[in-house]
Amino acid sequence: MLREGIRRLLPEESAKIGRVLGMLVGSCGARSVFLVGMAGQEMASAGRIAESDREAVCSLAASVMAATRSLAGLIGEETFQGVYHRGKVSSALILPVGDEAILLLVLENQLREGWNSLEISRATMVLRDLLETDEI
Amino acid sequence: MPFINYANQEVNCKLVYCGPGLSGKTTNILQIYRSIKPEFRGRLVSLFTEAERTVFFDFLPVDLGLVHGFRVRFHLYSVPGQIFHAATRKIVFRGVDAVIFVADSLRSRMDANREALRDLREHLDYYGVDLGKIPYVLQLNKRDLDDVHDVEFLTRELRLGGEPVYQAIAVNGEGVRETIKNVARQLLLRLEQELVSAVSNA
Repeated sequence: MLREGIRRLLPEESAKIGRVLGMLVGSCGARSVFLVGMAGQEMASAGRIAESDREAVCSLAASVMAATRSLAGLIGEETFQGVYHRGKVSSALILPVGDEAILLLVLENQLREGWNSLEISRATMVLRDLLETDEI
Repeated sequence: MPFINYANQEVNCKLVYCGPGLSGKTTNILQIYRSIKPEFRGRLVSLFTEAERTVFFDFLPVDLGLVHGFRVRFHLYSVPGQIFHAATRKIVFRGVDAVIFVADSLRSRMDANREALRDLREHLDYYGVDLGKIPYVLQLNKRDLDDVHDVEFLTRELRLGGEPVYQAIAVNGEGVRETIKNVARQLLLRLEQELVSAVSNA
């Protein structure tokens, strides 16, 4: 909830977001999933988050997304859909969730095309709606 | 903007060090990193070039302890000072809650100070942030060097309003803690009412 220049995440919002992230961990086989504010603060997470330096991860993910959006503007695109970093063992997918947050998925293996892309897309829309709703 | 997570009783605030290139922004953050026990700080992330000039930002999370039952965390950022990194600075200023302007006291850097101050105001304007309405401190760094402007001149030229002014020699830690303590106090005062009402409504 955004009010008086302060963003608040209430327990009931947090629980709903946590359920969505938890489902993503299951459906995508993700190691961890983070919902991150555009300013770089962690809003919620699920999965094996203890393996990560969460604050550094969230700060860098938000920065990557911000830089990507700026770059899009500079080369004439309105925005890019997201950023995918493909590694040998782990991969990272960073997607915008409305204007106020991003979704970071840390995957054990490479992102498979198809059904889990659909799951991610659905989850992103649900999260966006949750964040944009003042009263839940 | 401050982010309050009621589920895990945590408050996160974003504090940005800005100023002209080589004025000592990264040095301030490094000194804070070194002076805080590891259990009260996170990892220091620095994105710099081969010449160790900040290219994106420095990032350090700091734990201020419990305030009205909420764990308060400050996320310290520094921006790259060089003029051509304006696009990067704009990114880092998003969601800023407090600002420390690190001015270079050297006479030769006066124009750079003015340019950096103008740049700061432009970026905050872009996000609709009024510098007069968020915690803000002016730090006059490098007071140990020769050929520096006197404090009165720098204050007259760079102070925007009633913000606190601190002298510093960041390279040996002088003035660093005093500067951030002042900003922290201002931020906590701003959050006080919110946290008190949260506790009373619990």
